[in-house]
Amino acid sequence: MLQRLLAGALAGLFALSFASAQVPEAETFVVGLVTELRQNAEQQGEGSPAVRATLEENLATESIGKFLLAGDAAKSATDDQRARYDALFPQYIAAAYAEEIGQLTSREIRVTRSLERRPGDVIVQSALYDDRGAKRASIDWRVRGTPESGYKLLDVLVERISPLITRRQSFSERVRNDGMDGLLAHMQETIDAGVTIEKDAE
Amino acid sequence: MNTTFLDGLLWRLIAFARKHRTVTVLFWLLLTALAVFQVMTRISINTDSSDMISPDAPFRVAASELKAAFPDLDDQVLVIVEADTPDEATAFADTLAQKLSTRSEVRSVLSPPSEPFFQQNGLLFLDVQELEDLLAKLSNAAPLIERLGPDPTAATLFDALAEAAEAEEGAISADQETLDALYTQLSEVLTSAERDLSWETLLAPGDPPDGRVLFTLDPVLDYTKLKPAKAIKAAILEEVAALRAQGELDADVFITGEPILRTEELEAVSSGIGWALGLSALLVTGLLSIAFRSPVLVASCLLAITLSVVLTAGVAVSLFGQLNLISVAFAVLMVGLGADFSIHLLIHFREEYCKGFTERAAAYRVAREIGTALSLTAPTTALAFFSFVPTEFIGMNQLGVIAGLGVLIAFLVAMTLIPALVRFFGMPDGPKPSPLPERSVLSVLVWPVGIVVLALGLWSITLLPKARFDADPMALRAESAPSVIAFNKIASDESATPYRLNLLATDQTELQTRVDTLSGRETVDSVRHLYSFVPEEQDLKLSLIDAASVGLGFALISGGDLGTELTPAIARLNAALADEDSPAAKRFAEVLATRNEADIESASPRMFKFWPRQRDVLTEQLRAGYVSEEDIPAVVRERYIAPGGTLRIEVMPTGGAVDVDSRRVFVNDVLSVAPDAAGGARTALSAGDVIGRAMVQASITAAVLVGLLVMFVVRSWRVLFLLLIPLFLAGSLTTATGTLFGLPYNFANVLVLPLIIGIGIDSGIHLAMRAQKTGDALAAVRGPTGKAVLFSALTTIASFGSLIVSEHRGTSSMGALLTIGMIWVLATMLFVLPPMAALLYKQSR
Repeated sequence: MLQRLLAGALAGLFALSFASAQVPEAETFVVGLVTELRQNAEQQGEGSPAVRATLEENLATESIGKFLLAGDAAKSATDDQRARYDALFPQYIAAAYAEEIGQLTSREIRVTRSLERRPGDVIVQSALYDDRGAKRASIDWRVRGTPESGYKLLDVLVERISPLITRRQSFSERVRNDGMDGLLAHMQETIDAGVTIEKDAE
Repeated sequence: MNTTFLDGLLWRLIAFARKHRTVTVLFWLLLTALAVFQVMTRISINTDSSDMISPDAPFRVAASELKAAFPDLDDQVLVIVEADTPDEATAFADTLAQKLSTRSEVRSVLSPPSEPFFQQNGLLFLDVQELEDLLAKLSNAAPLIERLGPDPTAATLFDALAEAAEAEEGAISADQETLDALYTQLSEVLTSAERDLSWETLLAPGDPPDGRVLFTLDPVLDYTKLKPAKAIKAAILEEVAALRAQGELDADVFITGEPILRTEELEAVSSGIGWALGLSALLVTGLLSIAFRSPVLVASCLLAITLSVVLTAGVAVSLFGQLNLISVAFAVLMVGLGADFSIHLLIHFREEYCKGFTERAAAYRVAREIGTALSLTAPTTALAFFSFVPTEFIGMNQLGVIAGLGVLIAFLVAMTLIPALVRFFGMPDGPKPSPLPERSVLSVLVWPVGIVVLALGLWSITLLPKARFDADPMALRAESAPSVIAFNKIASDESATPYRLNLLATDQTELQTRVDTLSGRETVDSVRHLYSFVPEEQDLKLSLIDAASVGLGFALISGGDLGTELTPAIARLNAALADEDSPAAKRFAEVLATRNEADIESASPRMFKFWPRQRDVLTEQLRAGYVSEEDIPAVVRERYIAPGGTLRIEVMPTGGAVDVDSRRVFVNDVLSVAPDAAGGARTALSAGDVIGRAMVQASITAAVLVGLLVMFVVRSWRVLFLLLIPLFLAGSLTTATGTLFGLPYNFANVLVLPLIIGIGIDSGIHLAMRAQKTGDALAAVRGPTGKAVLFSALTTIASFGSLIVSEHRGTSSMGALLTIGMIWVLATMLFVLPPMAALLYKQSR
């Protein structure tokens, strides 16, 4: 019931006009995160434990994990599978994002503005510039803020495309085809691949 | 019973009519005038075929409960809009629905594309996987949507495509499938001035959507008019024409639904009926002229037939007031049977007169010769018709009463009016009948043909189990009628098929229990009810929409790329396409190479004709919110919940249940868990079963009663045998022929069977009694009795056989089956009965 009420409230609040004021704290969070990721990548390499640790610490892993598995996949999972999923997910999503975000943070990113969609749900808009100073793409950082834990990164949209949707689509397809175990195996492979990259780098 | 008693009785009747000819004629004319007045002031016809079955039949009880709760359900009009693209179909349907909703002929319109509830919450009605696929596709198209903005140009689109084709990661991310679809559509738009770009197709996942949109409306029907739906049909066509005349949108519009189907059915039945009746009158007159060779006798016969029909109509209206689609066909029976009595009387009368007897003596000799047969045919035929009275088939038992009384009326008219008229105008002279030759063509043919007909008749019995009654009203309607074409378009559509079933529930708990019993059944495609308009898994779906709406929201509020020039955009695109491998890209490059800027500029409006609409639709869809039962719009609610709170569950069949076999499987499967299911699918099947049983029951009753009467009067097993065997064979052969040639019995042609019984009994009694009297059935066939049997059947064929060319399939099947039936009556009476009589009376050839 609570979920329904929340969903209703969210939907009621949601509007395509993002009229709320700037959220400097969210902008600061994004700038800080980008800077930290870039530094880690430059010092220890893309996909390094430091990069993944930073991501793991700053990603809203619980929300993303629930979103990606919600529905039939979650219903079909056994308690044991669910526990393994919860355990693997933070490492998995950090490994998956490490490469994607790494490609972005290696270039110059300038924050342009921030918009609060609803309390605690903020979009920080930025642009990606190449070495010649030409704008290459729009990057939207969707961050979620809570009084307890501060801001966490929920989604990164490149040119308005949300990887959350396509990632969820691929999760659903994998569960449909290979079952929950197939998904868990894939997550483990992604984590292991990150470790391999790290070892190769060493 | 002494048969001379009946001869004497008939003679007294004829003699009385001859003696008091003026009184007799005036009596019938006065009664006819009264009948005409009665018919003109009181007659009404109930065209609802479901009312022709006993209201106590279980399927009628279920249908009545459904109708009581949802009285307007059967009156829905369905509008089908078809266009080249789904975009145009939707736009046309939306505009048309909005215009119709303001018309006085329309009570309410349910058009999902126009309904804010569905515009806003439409995505929630997709299943999760469909929604994921759609949102992924839309999300990938977000960069393109953003660049195009609200007022795009060909330059913007081409530049964006070039950027995508240059394939730099992160530039434009529409997937290759979407890009190829866009290349293909653009090639078509640039090469055909008729083609518009379909954004709905481009942005839909999976198979491209149909260019077809359906909506329903609840019309205001004027039942005081003969065609209650004429006004709504005209209103729809008027708005369609007005919309087309504006020149912006074009689509084919088809209208169907029960009120429209009935209106057009009436048009199809009445279309050309004047010509058919005129032709029939000419043919009947021609046949009677051949039979009598006297205008006076022809006119007398026609007058007797006309009076019989009118008087029977008067009696029918006095007894019942309202006739039904079956009983109104009594006129067909009366023409056939009225002619039968008159023809037998007049042919024998003329024959005797031409032998040199006076009129009075000739009339007396007729009474002596065929008096018993004539007197016996009327009550036996009437008895056969009365056999339909105790059946569940109200349509037919009303016809049974009317036709039974009509036969007695026709007999009295023929036996009194015709002698009176002959007395008035005199029996015309004719050549003296020559004695029958020893051998004739008939005497040569009768045995071999008789054996063949008998063999066919016996074989036809094996086909009887396959005979069926098709109670589907659609089987009667003209295939060329626009409403039938429209019906057939959607019949196999699982989401729109009319062959559905309905259940009722008193509350939500009962509804859910009933829905649970139906879920998972192979024959059931889906179940709709009030609560099915509250989408499932809303939390998840809303969170998916919410996630996608971040990027799409920015894309949709973007002002788009402004200032892109066409010349450099074309050059950039040409260069980018040169490196593309897909056939669609190559084809587009070829087309682009043959077009100059002016061509592209002129095609530009067709590229973006539906773009603003698509943006609006997307914007609305992303506003989806949590839907509760209270949010369901009234136009939907009133279709699923009655004012008293009764809930309706709509059960849709897998595959549409178009053919009878799959419909039966679907209905039986649902009935096994919901015996009170009601709806078109069940009504047609159950009515067919009831009618089939009624026909068998009535036929057996008729055979028993007629047999008892014949035995009581004639006391001869031989006569009974000679009467019933050919009659049974004629019925069996007719039924089997219909089965073989795809002519099942239906509401229109079912009266052929009683007609066969009526004329078959008449002919059989005449021939069997002549055989008993003379011991030579073949002579009877070759003499005036055979001639009367032949012309009686031919007259009936001439009267209604021409209906075979009618566009209305029911009417046409009546003409066809009636012709087939009369041919088999002739075949069995003229070729099977004489050899049987010869064997029974131990006569050799």
